Amino acid sequence: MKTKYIIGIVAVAIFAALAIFSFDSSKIEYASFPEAKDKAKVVQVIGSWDQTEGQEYNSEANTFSFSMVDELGNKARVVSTGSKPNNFDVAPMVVIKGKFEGNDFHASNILTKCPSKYEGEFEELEGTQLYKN
Amino acid sequence: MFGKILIILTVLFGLLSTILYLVSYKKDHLRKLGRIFYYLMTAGIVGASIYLLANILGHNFQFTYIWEYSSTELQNYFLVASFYSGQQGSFMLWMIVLAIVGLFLINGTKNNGYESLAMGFFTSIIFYIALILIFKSPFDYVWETFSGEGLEAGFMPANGRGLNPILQNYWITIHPPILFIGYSMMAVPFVLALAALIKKEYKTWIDILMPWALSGTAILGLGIMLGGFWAYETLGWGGFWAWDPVENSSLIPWMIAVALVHTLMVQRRTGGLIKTNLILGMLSFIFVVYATFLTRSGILGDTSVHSFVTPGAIVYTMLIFFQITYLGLGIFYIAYRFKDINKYLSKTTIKDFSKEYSLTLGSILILAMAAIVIMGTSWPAVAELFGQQKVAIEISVYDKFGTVFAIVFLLINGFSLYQKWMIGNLKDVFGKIILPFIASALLVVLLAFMGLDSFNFILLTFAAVFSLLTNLEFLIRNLAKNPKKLGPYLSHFGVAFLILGTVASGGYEATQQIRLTENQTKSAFGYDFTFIGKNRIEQEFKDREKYRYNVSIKKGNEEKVVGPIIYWSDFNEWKSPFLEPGVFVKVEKDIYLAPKAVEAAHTSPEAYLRKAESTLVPIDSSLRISITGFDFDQVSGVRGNTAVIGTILKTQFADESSRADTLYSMLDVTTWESQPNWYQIPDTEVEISMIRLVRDMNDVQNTKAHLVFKKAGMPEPEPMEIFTFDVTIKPFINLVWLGTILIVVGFLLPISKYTAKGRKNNITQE
Repeated sequence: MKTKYIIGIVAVAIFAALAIFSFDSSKIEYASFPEAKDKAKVVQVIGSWDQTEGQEYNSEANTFSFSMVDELGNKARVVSTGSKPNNFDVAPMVVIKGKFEGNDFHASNILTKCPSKYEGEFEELEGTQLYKN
Repeated sequence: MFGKILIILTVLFGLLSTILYLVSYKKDHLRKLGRIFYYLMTAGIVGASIYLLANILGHNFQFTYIWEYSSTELQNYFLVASFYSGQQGSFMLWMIVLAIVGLFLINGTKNNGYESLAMGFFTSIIFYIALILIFKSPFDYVWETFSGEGLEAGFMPANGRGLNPILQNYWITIHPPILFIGYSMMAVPFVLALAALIKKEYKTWIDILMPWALSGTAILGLGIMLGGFWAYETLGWGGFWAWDPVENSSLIPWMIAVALVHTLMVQRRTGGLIKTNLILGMLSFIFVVYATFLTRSGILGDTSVHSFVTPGAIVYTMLIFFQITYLGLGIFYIAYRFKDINKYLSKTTIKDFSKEYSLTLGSILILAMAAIVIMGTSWPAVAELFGQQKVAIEISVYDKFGTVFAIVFLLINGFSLYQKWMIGNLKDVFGKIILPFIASALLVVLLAFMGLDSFNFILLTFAAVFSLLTNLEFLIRNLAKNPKKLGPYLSHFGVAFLILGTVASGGYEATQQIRLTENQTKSAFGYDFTFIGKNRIEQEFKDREKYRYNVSIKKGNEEKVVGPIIYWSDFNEWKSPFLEPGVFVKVEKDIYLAPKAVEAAHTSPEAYLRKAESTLVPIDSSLRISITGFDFDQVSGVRGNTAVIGTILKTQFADESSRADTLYSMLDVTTWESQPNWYQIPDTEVEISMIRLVRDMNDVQNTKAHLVFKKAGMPEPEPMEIFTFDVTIKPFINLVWLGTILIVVGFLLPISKYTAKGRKNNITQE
């Protein structure tokens, strides 16, 4: 019985170490644009689409590009393969994953918040036609 | 006010019912009273739900919740879905489903001495959720929510924000309720295990639990997979599973429940694993609560697409307490009874290399995989707690571990079928598995010649085929004998199919992009794709413009028209289209068409000009034009962002004289395209329009204007649309759905064997 326990504990320890190592080596850090440029590896950046710069889907090259402002206010051009994510325009926040190539951030993945989860802002209410009972 | 009163009553009745039920464990005459208050609480929940639903159907946008998630444009069944589109309403849904599950649980426990404790703890869960709803109420009025903004009481918004068009699909009425039924049923093993610990009945409780464990696991699994099917079929996410934290957090309780079903079987047949079952019974629900916390606290906000926004500090704290309460109860009672359980341990421990040995090993593997998913899902949150830098997890880790575990447990499953309970008959088993082993190996060699190439996939396929063949043998053997015994074989058939389908559709998919004008044909993957035109659908709605882009897919005599959908909606102010895939479902593969873009192609003569470049006019070579500059004047249009741009044009005549004109275009700043706005250059027969800016992101000076020309007075040529879509071949994706159905059926099939009546009959048989 004792040996079984020892074998079990050793197996669990090895498994835990392996799992922690795998996750630790696969984790992707969040960074601001300047940090992402310095690190020159795959990172995630949180920010929002800068509407003043527009966005573009190029169907010949199948690339979608837009300008993004990170949480610290740094701007960069983001280029990704594929079309625009379905709720890109209404998402208050985007998370992109990728790395810098030259001055463009090449995103392998653009994450926009699930559409069902936004809460209303007062500004939206202000914009609706209102009447009183 | 009425709704809030009902919620407060629900909280009070829930609290009373909890207390009375728990006290009635020692004073049985109070049990009926506890039950009465449970019914009253249920009435409160039903009342509050009906009241909320009535207000949704009546479009009462005075309620912030209804204003946020509903609108007058929604058809009835989407109005019903807007009931649970947000945080508050989905808590309500969870509460009502729990209350109904509780009614069944009363029925299942009132005659076996478990009602007091099981229902006491069960009711406390409902009480907790109702308490959260006091602080995050679906019955807040807009003037209360935005109290600082000076809205007057009685204020009624004209319309609500509506439901995201992406979600307007019949699946929204199916997937969430089923998932919540599954979640709610996970509470049953938890409360029964707690009751068993208090009652010191470590053996009999599993008889009550078995049908619940089987049906709960089946329903939760179905709910999870329907979500995957929804994502694949209409949301156009391309796949059915992305290891997203929120997907994962629903998978964790399911995996624990699957392990529990196996360890319960071991205890039933051998008397072993008593502690394991008590712990797993509690863990599956504890991880449901954990999933609730992860998805609703906003803690995964940056790493998951489904995560809710932060609900506010009070609710956040309550969710943490919700977890601590049930985790604490579980840990306390296990520790408290630990010595006592040891006294009850039967002499029959698990025999080496017997059937129960394999089942236990398989359960350990499922739990190990669950541990991996727990770690990966919690990692970002935990890193933040420890003040580490924010991180996200690369999903390939799950695939790696999943592959290894899947290979091992498929092999164990095939192996275990030949084993016997309580006897280690290793030699005997080796003799029996040789045949299916060789057959699987031959089949995989054949598949390797047909293109199965990666080493991982070869091993995985081998293990899956081995599991399939062995289960098939036992299925045929038992078919005539006892259909109720087929459950495990069907479920493992399902697992093998699911894994094969995942390997084939995920590992061997191929994608090609196709651009077509109307009636143009292009070939890909041996099929001819023709864009045969679009037709408008759902024309009765004023808030959207929805088109089906019909594409004919042809090969030899076989032809099928699929219609991916592109539509525009008020929801995002027509800023960008929503896209839905079209799928040609065949037996051996899906041909998946994901729309990408639609552009106008002009058939007029055209020219592309940069600033200061010049060109001869295509329809009148006596004229040379150049662009001297652009005049930008940003205005915001009604529908999204449009800007008026002036293109300053210089026209040179044959006699060297020249003139300047400005062409104005209404550009959509997301596509940089404009409807033609024809301008006739004075003293000529030429009309010209600037229809698009081709921007160079790296060099603004390199921006080109797309000009089109026509003879003055001639009709405008019909613009053509170019439809761009991705064609993806998904081999054997149907095995995934078939596998899921089989897993669910396999869980449901043996239930009657474990009900009170069934048990009596079984005892005589076994």
